[in-house]
Amino acid sequence: MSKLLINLTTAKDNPDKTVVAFVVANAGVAAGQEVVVFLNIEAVRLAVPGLADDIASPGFKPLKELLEAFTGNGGKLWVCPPCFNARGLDKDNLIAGASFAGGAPVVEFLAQGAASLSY
Amino acid sequence: MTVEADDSLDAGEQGCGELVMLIFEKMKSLAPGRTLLVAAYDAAAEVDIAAWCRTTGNDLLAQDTHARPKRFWIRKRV
Repeated sequence: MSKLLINLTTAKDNPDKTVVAFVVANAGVAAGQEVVVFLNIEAVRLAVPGLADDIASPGFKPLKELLEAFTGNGGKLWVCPPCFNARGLDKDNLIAGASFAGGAPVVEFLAQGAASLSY
Repeated sequence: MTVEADDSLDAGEQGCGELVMLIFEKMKSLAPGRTLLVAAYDAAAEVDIAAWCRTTGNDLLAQDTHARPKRFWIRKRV
């Protein structure tokens, strides 16, 4: 199985970019890839239940559906802890498929040969 | 769980790249084969430190993730 890392820095502040990142992430999952979306900077908010629910971009499914398809098919969400803490979010309440992971596992994943895209 | 350590590092609340950079810098002062005890509060400390050890070839001898701070014993690669 090949690996794909998608680096995402936005959430509600840029719905188009955020939604398209998960459209591509789902294309990766559908192609049988091991896909990780690294949520950092504003994107950490997507790991909090409910905060992705009203994000949408014209021409695409709502982000909530894209996220559910992604995690429901084995996609992983890695959440940057310092970015999360800096926004005063509840670290004991993440959505399914999300877990805390910082730069070291990202580097390891890339060193293992993961391709990467950044949004 | 405890393992004898030759030196220690209090990483406090540091996480992500800052946590492993602290460990990287501290490990420079240790001789190969010596063990560093790292104390860290970061939510992903166990994920990040394990990945850093695998990537760098250092040995994560033991960890206690139930303690606060969490504790990690890392032996510098020979």
